[in-house]
Amino acid sequence: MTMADTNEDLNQLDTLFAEARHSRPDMPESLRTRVLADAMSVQAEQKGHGAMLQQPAR
Amino acid sequence: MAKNLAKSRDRAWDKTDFSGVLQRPDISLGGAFSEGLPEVSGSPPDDDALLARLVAGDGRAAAVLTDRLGPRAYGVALRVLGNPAEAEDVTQEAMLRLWRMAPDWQPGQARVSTWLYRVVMNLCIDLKRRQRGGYLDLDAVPEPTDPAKGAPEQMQDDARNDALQAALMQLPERQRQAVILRHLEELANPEIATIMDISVEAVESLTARGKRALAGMLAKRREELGYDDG
Repeated sequence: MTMADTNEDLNQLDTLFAEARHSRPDMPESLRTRVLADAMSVQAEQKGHGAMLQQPAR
Repeated sequence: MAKNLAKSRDRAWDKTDFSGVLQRPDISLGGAFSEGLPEVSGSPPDDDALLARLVAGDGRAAAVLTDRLGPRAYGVALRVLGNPAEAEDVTQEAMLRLWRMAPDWQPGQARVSTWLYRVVMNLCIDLKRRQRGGYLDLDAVPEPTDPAKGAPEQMQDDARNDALQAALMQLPERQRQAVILRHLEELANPEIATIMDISVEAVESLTARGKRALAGMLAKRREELGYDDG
């Protein structure tokens, strides 16, 4: 492989990188739904935990 | 796969099993979580502010963070793993860790996105490590693209994208991660060093070697990929 070939290969690779950046995969909607369900669940857990901590000791 | 991920939860704050959450009938995604978050002073709140709002009980912050960070986490996991189902599991787990970490987040010490990239990368490493010790092929080639796409240009774009992904999967794991973060996520070397817990010099070395290796692999496919007309 010559130096010219190498430069051409690297340029080709940069083009592929650029194309890949422009065709970034979308996050599946089902995944988004699961992620938000997790967020709600964790938030509810943390609220519950905070309420427990605020209860006066008997 | 989700079971495999659950096995990797070796840190103290990962010990709870959340697998039942997805089946809970009482969880609805309507209301506050489906609405956008109002902007403050004409600019969208940054990730630190969104985490603080989430902790304060503003559920809309989770939706904004998910839309902002989720696609990046999923995209990088998909590139590193080459498998959509595994990338989804890793992304869900990483975002779950984000929600659980929110009350302890110290604004200004690091970027939330850097933290998340790091979690994603560690989850990918854990997954690959388990696969190496098991029966799955470490460098399994990515799934073929949807054959329903018909236009020749789209087919060639897909072929190039597949060729890049296949070549990425041939790289050693750390080189692959560094190249993806540098050239596909366009992160700066110091941030990549933080994410990968290595020096900036090591990042430079990994990306340079990775790029040379990729160029060599793809050179053999020039004509097939439509690059042989120059």
